[in-house]
Amino acid sequence: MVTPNKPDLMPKITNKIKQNAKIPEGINTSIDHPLKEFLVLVVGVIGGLVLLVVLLSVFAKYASPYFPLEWEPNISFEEPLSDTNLPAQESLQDILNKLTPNSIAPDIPYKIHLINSEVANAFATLGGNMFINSGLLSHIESENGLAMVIAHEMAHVQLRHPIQTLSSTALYQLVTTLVLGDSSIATFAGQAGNLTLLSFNRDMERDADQVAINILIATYGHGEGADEFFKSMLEEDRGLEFFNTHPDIDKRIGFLSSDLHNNSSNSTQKTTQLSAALLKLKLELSVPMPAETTSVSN
Amino acid sequence: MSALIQLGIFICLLLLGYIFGRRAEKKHYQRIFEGEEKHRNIFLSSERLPSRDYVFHHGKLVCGSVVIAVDYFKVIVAGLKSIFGGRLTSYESLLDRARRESLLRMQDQASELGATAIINIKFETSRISGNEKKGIGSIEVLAYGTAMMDRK
Repeated sequence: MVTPNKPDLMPKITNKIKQNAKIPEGINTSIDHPLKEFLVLVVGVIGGLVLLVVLLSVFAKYASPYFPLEWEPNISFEEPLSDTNLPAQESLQDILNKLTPNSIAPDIPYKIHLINSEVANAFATLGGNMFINSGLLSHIESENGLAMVIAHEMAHVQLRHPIQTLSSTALYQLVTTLVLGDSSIATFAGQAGNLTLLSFNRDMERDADQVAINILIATYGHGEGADEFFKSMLEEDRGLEFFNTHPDIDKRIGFLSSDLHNNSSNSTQKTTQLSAALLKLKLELSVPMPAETTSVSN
Repeated sequence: MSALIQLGIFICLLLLGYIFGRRAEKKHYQRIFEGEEKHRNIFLSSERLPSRDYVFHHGKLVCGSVVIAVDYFKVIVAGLKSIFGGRLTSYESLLDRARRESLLRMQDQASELGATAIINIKFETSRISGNEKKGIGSIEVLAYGTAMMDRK
């Protein structure tokens, strides 16, 4: 019989020094450049957000006519204003009444309000409400100039711009909050979305200018004085168009003059005087002061 | 205009995070490579019991602990990545550095004790101020084990 070799159970003590092996790099970590991944992610996320805003804005544009205007005052957040300067207020209303029959939606109950503010601005909100700051008068020479501003705000109401802006902004915020939550990139996403929304805002301004000049020509028979306000605002520095709510003023004047060129052959028409109440207000304001903001209307 | 300013601040923070974070990471890896070369003879093992080589050794607890902070750039990259899923490579390198550094500190201790090996190595990790809202997180990695010293 051959006895099998018994395994050696005695501890063998080696004097060899044990060493740690050199572990290859790039297994637990990525050897790719971190900027590469960042760029892919940023392009993907910004692309997605821009697409989202475009979809929401287009949706808001086509859905807004189905939202009854009578419902708008119920979702309006503004406090009802008490009007102070009644004669001037009435003059504004007169201009508005003159313009209304020539608008594409004369049956909308437009309401105009005068705000005591040095800032040259005008805006339209939900429910057919329009607001004119008194500071705007110092940038205007004639009734036609003021009528252009009012017609511009009327055009916003007719084209349902306030409800479009509100719904697309609210939907965008809802979606980004659901997807991103309260993380640090939510601000980042907000900025990307806002800049895209601004481009739609500028489109709205262009459309409103277009409709407004048609109302003005239909009412006064000519478009003289339409660019008074813009020309007066030209001196302001507004920064890059990409970051603004409104198109560049020189572009807007450009649009206007091309429209005027098509519509009236005689460009030496007389403009209408401002009413006594508005002239008085304008004189009160004419104590020299620079216009503070740049935004024209909403 | 305020959109422009906010975007500017965001990009500045991102740039600062990237430049300083990247610089710190490069330098740290350099130190890690040097340290690993220096301590190659202090053998690391996760065996619970000493092998027969260490029957004439006695053991002593050694530990190394590292706290490491994440930079803004890494937070943003990880935040973007977590929308789509996948490897959070920006955090991987951070944790890799912390683990290796903690081993090195443990080996520093062991080498002062004159040890030739460390057995029964374990890792622990915990977040520091990690639950603060939107705060920039930092982590601790703790490595501990039994240093084996020759009984002479």
